Amino acid sequence: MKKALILEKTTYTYPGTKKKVLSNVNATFDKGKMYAVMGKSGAGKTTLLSLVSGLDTATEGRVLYDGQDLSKLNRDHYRARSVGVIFQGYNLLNNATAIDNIVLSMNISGVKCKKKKAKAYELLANVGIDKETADRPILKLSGGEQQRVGIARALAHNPDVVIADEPSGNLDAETEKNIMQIFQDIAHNEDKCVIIVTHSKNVAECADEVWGLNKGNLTFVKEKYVFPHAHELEEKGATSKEPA
Amino acid sequence: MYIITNALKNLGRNKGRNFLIGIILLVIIVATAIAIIINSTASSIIDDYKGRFGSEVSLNLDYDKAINEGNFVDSGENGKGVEEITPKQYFEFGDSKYIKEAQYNASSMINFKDLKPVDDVDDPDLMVRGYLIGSNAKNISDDFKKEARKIIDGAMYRQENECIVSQQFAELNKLKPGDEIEIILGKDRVHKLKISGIFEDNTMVSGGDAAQFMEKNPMLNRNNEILTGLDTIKKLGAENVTAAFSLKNPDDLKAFTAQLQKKGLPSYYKVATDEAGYKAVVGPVENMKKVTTTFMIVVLILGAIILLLISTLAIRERKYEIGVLRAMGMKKGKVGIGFVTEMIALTFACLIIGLSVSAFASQPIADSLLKNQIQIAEEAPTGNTVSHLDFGASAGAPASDDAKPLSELSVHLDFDAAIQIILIAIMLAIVSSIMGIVYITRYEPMKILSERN
Repeated sequence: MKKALILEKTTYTYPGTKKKVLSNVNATFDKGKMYAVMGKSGAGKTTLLSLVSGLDTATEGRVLYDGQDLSKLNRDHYRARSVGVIFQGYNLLNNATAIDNIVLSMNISGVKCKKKKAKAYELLANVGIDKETADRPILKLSGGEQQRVGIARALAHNPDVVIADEPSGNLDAETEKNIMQIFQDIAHNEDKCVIIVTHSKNVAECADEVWGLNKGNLTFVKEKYVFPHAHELEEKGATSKEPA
Repeated sequence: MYIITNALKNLGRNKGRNFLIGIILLVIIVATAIAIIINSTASSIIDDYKGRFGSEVSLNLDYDKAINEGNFVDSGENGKGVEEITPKQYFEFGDSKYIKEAQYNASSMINFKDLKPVDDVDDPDLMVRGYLIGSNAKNISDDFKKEARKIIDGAMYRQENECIVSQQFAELNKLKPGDEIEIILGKDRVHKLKISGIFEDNTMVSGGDAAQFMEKNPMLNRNNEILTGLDTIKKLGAENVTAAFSLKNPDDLKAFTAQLQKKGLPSYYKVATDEAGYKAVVGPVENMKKVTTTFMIVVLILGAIILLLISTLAIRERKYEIGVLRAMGMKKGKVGIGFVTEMIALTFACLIIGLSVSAFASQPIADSLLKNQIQIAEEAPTGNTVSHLDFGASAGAPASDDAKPLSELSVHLDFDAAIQIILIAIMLAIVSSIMGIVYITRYEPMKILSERN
């Protein structure tokens, strides 16, 4: 399998502190696979996502995309073209409509498509947003709807890497299942690398590999996830919520 | 292109904020546009009058200076008399690179050979019975300008040795255009002039003219004036000359003065422009310009401060937007262009409304300001204590004692003013979006978003 992202001795320390949020992390994320990263709150999951999504740079070590050091790449270009991020707090343009958020993302990424709006409606329909909802401003959508718009936006420019921070946090079970199906499809059928940070056992069950993050250390837990005993999770630093 | 589209859509998405900024921009633009429109018109009027008053030069005797330099004091015995400017000097003074135009009126006393002057008296000793007047001025004199005199037969003199005579003089001597007359200059210099035209003289018939109540004297009757060209009288020798010099550039006054003194103008002659007249006419307009300029500067400074404050207050919302756009991969420059485009679009909308409002409002405001300034000028003590002693040796622009201030100012929006307003509007747009641009350049998207979340 082709390697999408490689973390080499990646360490991250917040400016002005000595505390290492990530410490000497080594990991490889391949294209065509879906990964789940599990860990307690404050374990460094969001920091890990910000490093692999090009929003921040490692203080030590390297993050490689397609073999190239991210800190030496044009990270604006990387964020616009190669990676799609689903934020826990959605991070959508609140006064713009859902459809405008998706079309704008396509424009920033330089997507060459004559019917961007039609494609955006289609993407939103795939995550369960109908046309009427798509034409409403983000602030008038529920948390779950906003999350789905965030997912559609991350996929709008067909990125190589999809990174999601608790993507199913506000979704009902059925929508969560559909979304996970989409993630699996793009990983397995479209050869994308999907990395999901989650507390959800259901989400983790859909992943091809599960990694645990504990006190800044990222550890491989299992391939093709089968929910382990609690003590096994604890040992690897991965914790989960029981499915609802 | 999508940046512009998104910026335009943003105007509608953030109605409250943009409405507030739009109102402030509109007020600033209207106030500034009115000030610029009034200023622009006032400036062109001031320049025009400066050109006129500043270029017309007069040569006046400075009485105090003349006395201080030992002239004119007891001239009969101890002091030396004031040197008068000779006709020859006047003609030399006019021959200068600084002069745009020199207008001369020259005259010489004459007698007539075989011709009768109007109001003649039986006095064989009387040597002077009329005047030969020569000029290079277009209208010869105010009389022709005011139509107190006008050509009724023939034409104005064009060639050397041509002249025009009055209707009464022509009728008395049965003269017509084409005839020749002989005049005597001095004791016995006889000179022939050809009549090119006959003029009607109405200067003597107006009521209240002193001549009507005086004894008959051909010298006092203006119908005995023979009018000719400057070249003719120069050739024959002018006894008296008055000159009006117009400078090419009012700033050349000092250099022209130096040149005149080099050519023999005594130092106690003052070479001056009609500053008092200029101040009397244009003073209120200048004051109005100062008022509008000050007002404009105050509005611009206060407006810019208010815009900066509003954009600072709105930055929390904008900051999040910056974070989202940057996280999506939009380059800093493009985010900045988007913000500036948004403000420029809003500013141009305000500009269109503002220019329309100011085009209507500037005239009544200008009228009111000018009226106010005229009132202030009239109420203020004049302070114009310039003593003007004319010893017959002055030349140039007429005295401006009767100069009245401009009472009307027709303001209009010209191209230059429109460009100035547009540039100021663009500057305001940049000021309005500057806080956003500062944040774009200072913060990384992750920092902005993590602060928000």
